[in-house]
Amino acid sequence: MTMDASLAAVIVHDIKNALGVLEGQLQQMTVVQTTQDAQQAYRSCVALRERLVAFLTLYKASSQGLNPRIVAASPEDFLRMVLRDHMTTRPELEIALDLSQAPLVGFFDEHLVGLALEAALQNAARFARTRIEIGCSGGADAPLCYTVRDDGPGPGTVESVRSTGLGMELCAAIAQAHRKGGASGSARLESDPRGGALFMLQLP
Amino acid sequence: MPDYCPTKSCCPEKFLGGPDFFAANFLLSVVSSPHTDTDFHMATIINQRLGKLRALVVDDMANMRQNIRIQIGQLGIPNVDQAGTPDEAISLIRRHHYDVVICDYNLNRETNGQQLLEHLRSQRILPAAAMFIMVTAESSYDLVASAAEFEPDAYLVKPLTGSRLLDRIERLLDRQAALRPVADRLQLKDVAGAVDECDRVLQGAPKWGLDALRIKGNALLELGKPEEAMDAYRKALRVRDDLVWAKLGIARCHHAAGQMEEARTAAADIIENNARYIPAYDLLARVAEAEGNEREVLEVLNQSYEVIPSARRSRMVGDAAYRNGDLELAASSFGKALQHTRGSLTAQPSDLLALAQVHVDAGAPDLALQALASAPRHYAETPAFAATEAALQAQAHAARGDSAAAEAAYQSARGLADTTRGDAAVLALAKAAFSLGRDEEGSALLSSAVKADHENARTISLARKVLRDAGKEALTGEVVDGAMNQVATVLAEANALMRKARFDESLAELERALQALPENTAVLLAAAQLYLLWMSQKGLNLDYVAKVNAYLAKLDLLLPGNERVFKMYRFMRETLSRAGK
Repeated sequence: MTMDASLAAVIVHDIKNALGVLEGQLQQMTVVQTTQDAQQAYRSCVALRERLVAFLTLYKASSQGLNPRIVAASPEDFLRMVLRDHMTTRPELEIALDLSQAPLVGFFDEHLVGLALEAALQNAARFARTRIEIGCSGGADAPLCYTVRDDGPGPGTVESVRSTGLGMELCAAIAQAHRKGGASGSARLESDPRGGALFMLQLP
Repeated sequence: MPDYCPTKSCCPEKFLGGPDFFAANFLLSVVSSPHTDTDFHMATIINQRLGKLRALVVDDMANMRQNIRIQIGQLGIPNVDQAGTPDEAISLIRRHHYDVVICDYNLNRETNGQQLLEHLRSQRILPAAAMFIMVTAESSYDLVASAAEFEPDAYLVKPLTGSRLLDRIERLLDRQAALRPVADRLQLKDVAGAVDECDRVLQGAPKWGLDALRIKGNALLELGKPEEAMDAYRKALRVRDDLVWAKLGIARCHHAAGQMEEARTAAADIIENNARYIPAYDLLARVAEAEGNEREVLEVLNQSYEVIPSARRSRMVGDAAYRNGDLELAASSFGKALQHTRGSLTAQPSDLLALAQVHVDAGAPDLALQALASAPRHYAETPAFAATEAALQAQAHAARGDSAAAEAAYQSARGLADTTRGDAAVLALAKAAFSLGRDEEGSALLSSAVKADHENARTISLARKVLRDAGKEALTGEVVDGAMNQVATVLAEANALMRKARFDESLAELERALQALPENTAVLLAAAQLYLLWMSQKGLNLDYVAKVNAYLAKLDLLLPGNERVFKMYRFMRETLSRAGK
């Protein structure tokens, strides 16, 4: 897998722009300091850090490959951690956790899958109207599958400001790095039969 | 005992048998969005569990460790110390009890976080219950994690956030709590009890079932039950068929059952698919050693050094190369071990002594003397080091033809060496005696080294090598085998007396032997067993209980993790329980 040069350029420009926003927010704080400004700058900083980590991970995937450290972990504990760590851009959204089909133990790289789910959550938050649902299913002979649903307009929606596509690229690279025997994982975004978009990260 | 099912406590007919058995049965729950304005300022979490912990942050960058300290302090761990170097960390860990060590992988040029962990665990400086969390960079985390000789409890990738760290600590605490009954049994050396507790975890807390199976397999191997251990590992492989630790467990079971070819095939198969999995190399080396193939041992250990070029691996290669007569490789390997640990608390004085011995054997006495002269002053405060150093100086001076200096160093070594032990000092002293033409003294020293622990294969192999190197191979039967036979005869006589129910005479015989051979593990075991048999016949005797405890404590140090010692602990518990009724 090689990283597309134009994608890399778009991502780096995006990060540069985000850095400019952060700079502006910090500059504002040198004049007047309010809690709200600090919160905003903090959020920008976290988002920037996440984008940089995602970019570096994708770069690593293309330059030397990702070698997941697959360990046994509780999907429930893992998803709760992902949600605790998630810095929402839209606090008004309800985020629900569906553990009804989750196995007690799954096998995956927590760090990498954490990055993928964070990217999927950020993506869902851009389109969701009121609600996002994150879940997990699988076990026994079925592959482990993490899902992120939103109640937005569904895939294919054109945004006023186009995304870089970094998130889906990252998810695909992380899914493919998870291999077992001859099988490898996959990342898909499709229409949810209940409406909205359904992101699925399937791991062998 | 039903198969382990990581979903429900009882599903004997199905092993992870489908989504219905897998479902965690949690209802859809709504989670409030984190990091909202209301909770933006991280409030101090009232968490008694975390509040009791003491943590150490090890990072060479002051701002990073300060940042972590503040973050986890705000989140509920008030007692956080900091160390900027591995030496500072070792020094702090020696002085204080830490529940958690959070360590950056990149520390300094000499020692990385993995080497620090290796030192702390192998030297038993860090309590087994303490958590060690390794923090790695994005770019290197998979490489670091894939070739870890001593696994940390968790890996976290930079940049580290306080909440992610705390989350991991909480999960490790959950695991500790679930497995505490198992750990408590192991702490008491009750390995059979630990196996029972593992079964309870498998039934009652299936989330931790794989951990329980892993511990159970290991415990059963320690108890000398490879077939039952194999069963535990197979159950784990039914959950996930590529679990490398379970595959290694199967290979270890074959090794323990004497099925060397199967063990070799299984270990080689692991390496083929996981070339960086170090325990598989070690098992292959043990198989080769059991088959007496020293050359293969060396090759395999050398391969393992390619995977983890650490001081510990260099030392292992050096040791195998020396026993194999490959002095060039031995010299370079001990040299690397010294290089890896130079100026650090992780340095081991034995590396320097081993290198000096290799130089003497290779006909380079000047290099040996140079190596010894480079020893930090404080090494000589340890009598064993001073004795070995003097014995090596004697050998080196003798090789240079300086008889007077050799004689003086030899006398100094004689005065310092504890000849009741079969350690490196006595073996080096015997070698020095032969190099000075004091053959009788050399033979006597070797004989006492062998008797000191006559079932120690390493000591015996090195004693034979001393005779071979001195050109006195003809003495092997008399000196080495003779010494082994002498102790074996004492044990046989004590056994015969015991069988005739002449306990007190048998005890007197073994006590006499222990006076002369206080660290002979076979005599210690026999004595412990006899005192226990005495009590099982005649009732509790507190003096004897104290003696058995002292012998077992000594055996714990001499034979860590030994199956026979575990069995003796079990025998003690059973005997005392019966005698106390």
